[in-house]
Amino acid sequence: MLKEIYIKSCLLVLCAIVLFTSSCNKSLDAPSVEVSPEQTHWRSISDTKAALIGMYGLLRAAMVDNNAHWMYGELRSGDFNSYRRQDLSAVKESELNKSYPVLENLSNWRRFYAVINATSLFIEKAPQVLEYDTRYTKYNLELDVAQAKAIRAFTYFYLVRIWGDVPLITSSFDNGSFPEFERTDYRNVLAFAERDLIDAVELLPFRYGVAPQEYYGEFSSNWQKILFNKISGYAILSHMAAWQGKYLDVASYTQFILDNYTQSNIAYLQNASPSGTGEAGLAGYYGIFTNNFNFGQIINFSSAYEFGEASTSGHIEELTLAAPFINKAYPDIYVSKDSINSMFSERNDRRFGVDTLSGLYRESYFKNYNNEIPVFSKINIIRDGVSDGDYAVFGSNLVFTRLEELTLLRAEALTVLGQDLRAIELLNVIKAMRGTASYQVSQLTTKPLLEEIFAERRRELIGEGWRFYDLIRLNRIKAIDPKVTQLINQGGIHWPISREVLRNNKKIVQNSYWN
Amino acid sequence: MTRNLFSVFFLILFPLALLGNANKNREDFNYLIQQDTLEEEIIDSTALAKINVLNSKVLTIDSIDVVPLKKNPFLTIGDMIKGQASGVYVQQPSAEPGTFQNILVRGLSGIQLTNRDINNNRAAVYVNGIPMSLENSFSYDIQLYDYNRIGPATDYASSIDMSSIESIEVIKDPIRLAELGPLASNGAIWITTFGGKSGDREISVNGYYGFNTKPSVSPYNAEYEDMFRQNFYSRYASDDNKLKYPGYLSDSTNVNYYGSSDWQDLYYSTASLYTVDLSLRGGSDRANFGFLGSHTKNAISADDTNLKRYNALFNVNMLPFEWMSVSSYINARRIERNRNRNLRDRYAEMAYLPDLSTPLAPNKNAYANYLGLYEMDAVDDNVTNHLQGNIRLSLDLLPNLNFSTSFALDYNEGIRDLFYPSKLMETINYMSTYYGYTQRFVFSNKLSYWKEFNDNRFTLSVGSDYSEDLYRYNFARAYDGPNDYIKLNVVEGNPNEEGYLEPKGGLRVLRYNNKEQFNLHSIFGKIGYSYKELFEFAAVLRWDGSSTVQRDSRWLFTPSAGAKWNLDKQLDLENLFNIQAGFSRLGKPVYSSRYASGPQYASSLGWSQDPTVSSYYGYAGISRDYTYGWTGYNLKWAYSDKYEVTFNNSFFNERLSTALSFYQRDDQDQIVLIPIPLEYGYTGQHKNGLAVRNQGVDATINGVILPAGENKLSWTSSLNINLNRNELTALPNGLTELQMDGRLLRVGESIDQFWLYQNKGIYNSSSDIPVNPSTGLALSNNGVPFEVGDAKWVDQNGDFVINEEDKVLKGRFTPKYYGGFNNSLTYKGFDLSFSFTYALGLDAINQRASNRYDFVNNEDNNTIGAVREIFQWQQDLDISKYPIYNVWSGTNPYREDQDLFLEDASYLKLRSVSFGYDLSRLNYIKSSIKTLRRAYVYVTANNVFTVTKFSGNDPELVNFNGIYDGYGLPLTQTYTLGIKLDL
Repeated sequence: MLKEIYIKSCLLVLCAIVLFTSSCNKSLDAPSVEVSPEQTHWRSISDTKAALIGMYGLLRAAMVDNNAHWMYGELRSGDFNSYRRQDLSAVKESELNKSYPVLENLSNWRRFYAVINATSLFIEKAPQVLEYDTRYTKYNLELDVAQAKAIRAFTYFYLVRIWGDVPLITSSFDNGSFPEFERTDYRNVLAFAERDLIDAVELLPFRYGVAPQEYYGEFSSNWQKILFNKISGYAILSHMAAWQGKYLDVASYTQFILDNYTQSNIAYLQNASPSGTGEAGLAGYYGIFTNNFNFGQIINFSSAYEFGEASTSGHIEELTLAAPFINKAYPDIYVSKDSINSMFSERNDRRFGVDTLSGLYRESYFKNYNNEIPVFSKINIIRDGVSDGDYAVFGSNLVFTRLEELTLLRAEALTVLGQDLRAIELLNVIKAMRGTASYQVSQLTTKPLLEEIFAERRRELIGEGWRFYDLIRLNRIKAIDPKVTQLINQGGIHWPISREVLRNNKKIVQNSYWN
Repeated sequence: MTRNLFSVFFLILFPLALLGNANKNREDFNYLIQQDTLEEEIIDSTALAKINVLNSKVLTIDSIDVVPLKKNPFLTIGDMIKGQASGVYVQQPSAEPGTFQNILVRGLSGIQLTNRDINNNRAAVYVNGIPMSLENSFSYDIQLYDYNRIGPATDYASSIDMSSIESIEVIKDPIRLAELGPLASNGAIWITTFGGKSGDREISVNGYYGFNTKPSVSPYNAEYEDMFRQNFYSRYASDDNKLKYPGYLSDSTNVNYYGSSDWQDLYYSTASLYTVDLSLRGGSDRANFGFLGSHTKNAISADDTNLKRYNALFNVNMLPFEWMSVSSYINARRIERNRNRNLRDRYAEMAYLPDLSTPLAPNKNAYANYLGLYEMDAVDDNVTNHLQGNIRLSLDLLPNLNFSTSFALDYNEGIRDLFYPSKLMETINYMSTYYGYTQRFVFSNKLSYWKEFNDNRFTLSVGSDYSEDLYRYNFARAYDGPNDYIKLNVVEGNPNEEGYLEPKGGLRVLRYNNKEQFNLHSIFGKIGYSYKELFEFAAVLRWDGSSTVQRDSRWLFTPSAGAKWNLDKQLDLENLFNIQAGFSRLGKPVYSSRYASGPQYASSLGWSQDPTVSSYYGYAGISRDYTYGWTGYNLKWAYSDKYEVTFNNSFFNERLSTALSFYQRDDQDQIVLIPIPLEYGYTGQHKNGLAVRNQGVDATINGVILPAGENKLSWTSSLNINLNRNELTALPNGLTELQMDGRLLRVGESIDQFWLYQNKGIYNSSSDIPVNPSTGLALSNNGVPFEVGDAKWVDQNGDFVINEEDKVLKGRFTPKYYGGFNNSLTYKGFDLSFSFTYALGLDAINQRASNRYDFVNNEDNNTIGAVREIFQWQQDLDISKYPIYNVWSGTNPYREDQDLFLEDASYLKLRSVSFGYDLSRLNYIKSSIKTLRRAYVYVTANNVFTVTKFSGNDPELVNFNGIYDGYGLPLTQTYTLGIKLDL
């Protein structure tokens, strides 16, 4: 009995302990392993590195979502036709208000504003890392902030091209308040972007991580493929100016590029279909669209298979490739034989022409020309550039611009400014590389130079998301195509704004063309 | 800290357990322990009360009579309770064994538009007091399509073996739910299992064998499909469209497509199912034990799907001293599942769509080749292991002071190994491995005190529960391995070798993993008072702290109170008459720790078609999680307020008894993603404030139509019915409308409504198309003018533009009325029981029809909607219902969100009929086996017939969000023959 009382009283004490001490609040701290909370973020150099990479990643996501970059730039009014897809036909025909989910998604600008928010946030928050992490230097911060500004400027430029007037938001408002902004005149948006960018290009280097100075622990071989450098900054400036018709500015910005591009390890793509990684080339498995390309890029977004970022969607190949490359009978979009013929009139064109010796077609750009539906194969990077198309994920680069594009842009500017001879010189740089006949001064009267420059752009840049904007610029200078001119005059060059955007911000009004 | 306490606890407990003699436990089963007073000889009533823990008999009106249920080959908890208790509605999208079901008690408490939402609405299942954990939804984050979750996707609720169940009760009473805490905020299914019992040793052997029959289908071949499509091609197609007519349909000499359509001979085959279980129990008045082992195979006739389950259960109860009892229960289960071979599910798992232009041929030989590939080389192993157990100790410290403590564990792991050979995929092979687990332990302590004087009785208890949930998965996938012989991702395991942990065969393996925790700490007190047997009162006060709520609002105080008045005692009535009223407030658990973090950064650089990308050029990239939405500070607990008034009556000397409950449930302050201007990049903002009200009536009527008696026919009947309506009462920030996943939530309307265009037929001539008199423009759809052959949608606001503003809220996907009607008849040793279930006033969107008619867009876009399964070569929709629209129209005339595809999915089903006889009544059997207590043989038929207007296969096989996609494998008739032997 005594023993029982003893046990009982022991137990009673134990019970009391158990009951009242198990209430410790600490056990309720089980933070998410998936996310990093604000309190512990922006503390170290790894946070700024991840955030820097994050901005580029978000920009890539924005541009490839639903293959947006090509939908906006290449498909609309361009040379590609939809094989069967109704929604793609609608994009081509500028019937952008039809009831297809893709169109609704493409008219939503949220993902671009995610980039803008991330860049603003970076500019605001990155300086605080200086206090916490001595490895993070002022110089490093300068480079990072300059990139953030360049990315933001680029994104605004991209937005303006697609929607015209867009809300200009220059800080992150990262506090849970989300005031509604009206659309700002696109000129003001671009003016802001230009100011920011002019600041940034001062600081942006030609190359990141030039020995002995590492940038985030690495030398330039990787960075030159993905980060915005000084040349990138000038390229964006040139295009912003060109979009506004400020060709004087274009001329001076492009001048800088052509004078300095070698400092960023950038080269002309001499070979239309290179056979190895040693030479800078255009199409095929060693060209500029692969991760094997070992030269500097100007503005490029990578999706390297090597790093598990290759995907089925988000690449023009998803739309353009078919048999014999991958297991798909017909491509979603294709360039008709007629268009190919009108584009590539010269037999010697290395991009697409006929080999005079064998009589066979050069297939850098198109495969199966003899079939009803040729396959556009200029950009054709299955995985990391293999020929086996069984597992069709694409690791191609989204090359926004390259030296040839900027050279032609400069030629365009010089033409507009009346400096035809210098423009012809630049045009012939490209023509020489592609094996086509030089443009002769004597042709100025028979074959207008401006049109020829744009025709060269069409040939050189097909599939890279330029065609629609080229048409706009050309017809702004010279109203050639009545359809495009009508679009320009009526404001139809811009995309409709998605219903979700309009619903969530009552101050946004639809582009009048789409009302 | 807590972990240390557990070890102390075990150190003390185990020596005591070894002392072992007998058991008792009271408080936790307070409401269950109304004793089994029927047959057993009385050992000692107080000892018995203390020792027979698990086999106590439940007498509340919401408990389910499991005896007739056990004659059915039911697999999951949802199957068992369907139609058996008022207020419980079970959603079952497929008859495939082991797939997820949703159990709703008194309606939807929140949004349920995707598969991942069901965890927020599903009732909790308690097995012997252990709250079963739910598989976390986080693995959906890495999936592009949410048809199935990655891994074995076996519903944990299908692991509990029916043979081991002794009682099932649906707990809806606010006070009892308040005692259970936040985990039970959506209601609770309280299950007790087979367990030890003092008395003579009892042995039971039960088993059944049965088969599931094939459905009758009307298959068709390409000729029919061609005719179907010609309707559209002859009317609307351009020359270009005609030129691009699908190849497999244009060649009528192709016997695979144009030959006989007899795929069903291979797809459906009569499937056998069986179970066998053996149980043993017995003991003295100081100790008893129970053991049960069982093996079950469940299968259906479609697509060779089946499930095998192994189950072992052990229970020991001990009473070492009069004042102390120890009991432990342990249950281990394993499930192996053969899943369907749907193409859609496979492509969704792979997140890779091949060219879908040519479907599987409906011909048997072609299909046999395909199946051959599957059987030869494919691997699809789905295993789940479950371990559940508790150990509890109860001490009578003083005659009226009891302390009880328990430690419970619920562990569930899922393993899936998958390999699809390259032949099956035409070109590439695919392999994936999944390992994930869900682990919960609960540590509970409770101190109870009671005092009686005169006719008053006071009870007081205080306690604390601490539970820790851990969810984790590791998933790896690889595409296009070197050959079809390497089927699993094998790595070099020796760290000294070159290529340590590198996959063999040069596979590029993509790995995903995640971990989530949810810790809940509760402190509660309960005060009870009763006066004579007339009046009872109880109040529960709780403080719940959750790790998934932000620190400064982590603790939530919730009070509850209820009373009961026994009018029959008061007024001295012969029949039962009492009134019960209660209110409770309960926190609603959140199983994601992300809200608790406040503003946060995540690695989410994916886009719509590829949500998993988290790096850029191999570098981890971090940003605000724009796709997830903004998470700010001040996110609080959501809570559920429950009100109930119940009348329990009986009439005619208790031959008729009724229970009538009026309830209201307000699930308040739930977190939802609300819209913000998209110029900040976020998809929205997470905010508290969504509130849903469910109001309704639960009624149960039990009648003894013919009373039992020797050599007389007896008939008892039970009808249960629930009327429920839900209403969205508030949205955050005073919003009145919220669009989400193609639905519209509007304050004041039901949350389960569809948002649809109203269809009024077809424009047959251009003169039918309205023209805006002020602008002269024809009616348009977002700017695209309507043309002949387009659908006639009602222009609700009369602005001559058909857009979202013309959509109306219509239909509901949870029923207005539902319940069951259960009967049992006995005559001499024979008995017959039959049960009906019904659900009325619910609707479904026939996505299957929409998809079939919208073939042009689906096939041209090569979307997952274009996948054509083998079983879709059958006439599974009513083609007379749908007009022939221009499928090439830019207005998308066969869009899913229109009432053309809205159908009444009400049904009445005869779900089960069974007939049996107890052979032990026969003298020569009784005399030959002396110890035989029962030898019951029975036959059962399930899914006997359905009455419905629904045009699809089965109105029950609808997804959780009300979409009928035709993918549910059919609920066909099952016949079983079984025997129950008690020795």
